[in-house]
Amino acid sequence: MRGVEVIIEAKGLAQGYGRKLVFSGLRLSLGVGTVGLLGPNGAGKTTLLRTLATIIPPRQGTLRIDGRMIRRAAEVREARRRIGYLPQHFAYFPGFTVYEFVRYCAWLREVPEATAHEETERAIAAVNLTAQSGRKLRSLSGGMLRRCGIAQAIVGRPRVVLLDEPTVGLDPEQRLEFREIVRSLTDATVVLSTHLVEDVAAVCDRVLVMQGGEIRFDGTPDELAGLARPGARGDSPLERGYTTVLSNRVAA
Amino acid sequence: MIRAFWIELRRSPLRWALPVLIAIELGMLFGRNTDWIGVWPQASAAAQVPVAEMAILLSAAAAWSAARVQRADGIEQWSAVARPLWQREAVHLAATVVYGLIPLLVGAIAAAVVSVGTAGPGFLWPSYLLLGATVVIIAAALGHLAGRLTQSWLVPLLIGAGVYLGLLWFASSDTFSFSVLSGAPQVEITTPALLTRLALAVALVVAAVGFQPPSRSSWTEHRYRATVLPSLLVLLTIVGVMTAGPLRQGREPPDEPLCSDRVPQVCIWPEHRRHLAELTAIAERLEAVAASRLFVIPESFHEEGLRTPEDGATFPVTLGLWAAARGMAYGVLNASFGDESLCAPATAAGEEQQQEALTEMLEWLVARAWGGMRPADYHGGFDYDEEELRRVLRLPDDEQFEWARERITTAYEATCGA
Repeated sequence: MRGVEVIIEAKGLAQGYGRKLVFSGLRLSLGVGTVGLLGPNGAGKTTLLRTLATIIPPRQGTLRIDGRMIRRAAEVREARRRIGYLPQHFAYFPGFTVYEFVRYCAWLREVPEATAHEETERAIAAVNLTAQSGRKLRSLSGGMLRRCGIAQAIVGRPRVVLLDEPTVGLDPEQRLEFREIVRSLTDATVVLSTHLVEDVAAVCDRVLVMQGGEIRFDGTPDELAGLARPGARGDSPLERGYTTVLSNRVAA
Repeated sequence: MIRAFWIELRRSPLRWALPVLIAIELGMLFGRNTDWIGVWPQASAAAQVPVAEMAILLSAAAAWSAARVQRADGIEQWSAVARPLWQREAVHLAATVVYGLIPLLVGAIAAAVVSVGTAGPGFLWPSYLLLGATVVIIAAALGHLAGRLTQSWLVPLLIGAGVYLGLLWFASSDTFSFSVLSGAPQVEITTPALLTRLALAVALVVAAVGFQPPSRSSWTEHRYRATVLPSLLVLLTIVGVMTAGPLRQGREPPDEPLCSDRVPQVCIWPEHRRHLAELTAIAERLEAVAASRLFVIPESFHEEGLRTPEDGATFPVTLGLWAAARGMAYGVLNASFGDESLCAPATAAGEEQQQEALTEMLEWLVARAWGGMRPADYHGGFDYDEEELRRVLRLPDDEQFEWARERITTAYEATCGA
């Protein structure tokens, strides 16, 4: 279900690397809820997430996070307090314990000192790692590490949570756990970039399909499934809708 | 901030290096000679001496620790956080510096504990400890900066070796040295030299925490400031160190040096008070040779720095008591056969003959003053027949004096009888 309040708003957004333009003129308006970002490799999903995470400034256009325009370094810093980001490659310090790492990330996000401990424990509990709180990260399984990555992204309850391919490398059970965690993030705008259509079907209430730097589809999973043409490739209505969008370049 | 600092402290790889650093500090403190015990400036300098060796490990470990984000391939992840980069790096570097300062502190405490019973009034000299702390900060900052510049596994090795070689290289420079080997009470670290070195350390810290790795982000509009300004600051402080003058300068002698109440009188710097009894005994043993009527014993012996050699016999204490005994023996020899009584030999053979006689006499006087042969840990001086000296020292006093008379005659014959 889409939230009424707009948390992420982008207008005329352009981004690229060197001379290559990845996307331009991109418009985006996201409220509270979970948004799946689908698209083939090279569609611009990760670039969009990196732009929303304020890692790279847009070449053109405007970006608002939680109602605040992002233009200058001070505004970026302010916005970053409201953004949780789990990149495709989750970097961590193997010698830190789960608690220490998440607590350190809370400090990095400038979560107020008075609530940082409580927020850390809450984030760790949210990803079901309380029992492993004192364990060093180097001793965790891949699934636990991913959960820890999510914990660092949600500590301090940021308004925006950006998850880039968070289920890569997880076994089916771990993916189910992950879905439960994402479902529990009810107060934030969660943008979930993935190749896995079934993850989107399971946890997202809105889907964006990107291709060639453009948003080809913006709607609910049911609406995407409804676009499926007979004979389209895919094992589920949603997959068939997705491949239909990619093959037909259906406008959003 | 405090919590993040504690996490850094708990998880710093330097915690594994800490026992080694402490072992280096204490091993070098007590493993070499321990003449510094009981002398505050010497003890202070001794606690600082191992810092140069510790700097190898410290800078290498700092480089390793600072490269953790690159090692984890997390530059992007960490560039998306609100906390300014310099604060993150400052907390990280602070933990590294603490691990460098702990061994110095342990060494200083150990030096104070073993000195307090014999050193008398006073305490460790902060200037030497600050100098050591400065080197710790410089080594940590250089290592941290190097680690942030590149994650190559070679960097810790190179920076460790570089810091050590740099300290060795500069140690021979009067104006650019960062360490001392001993702390004679006659000299002290100058305030400008210490302050400029501290300023250099601070500048390197600013460079180490302020450095912005190359990235595409133009949000960080101050990158040039974060790179250029610290570099200029480092250059400026280097110039400051080079123009601040020598690291140490002579101290004004005290108005009232510490003197024995015996004859000959022995006067020393108050900081050397623990040696007064032994030095007095050395002087008294020298006084005993006056019975031979061959030597003039000075009325007083003063430690170097309390008066000039022209004003009377002086001796060093900083090099050890045997060296002090040798200095006093020189004083006796000079008082007895100074330039005015011994002429220059007319021939090379005569000069050699005179030199040999005087050397034998000096070593005999030193042995008498010291109460035995030269200790094994003292080296240098002129060559002489040690077996012959041992034989002479076993003789009764009157026969020893007769032996000395023969040397004197030889010296005079060589001088004027040729």
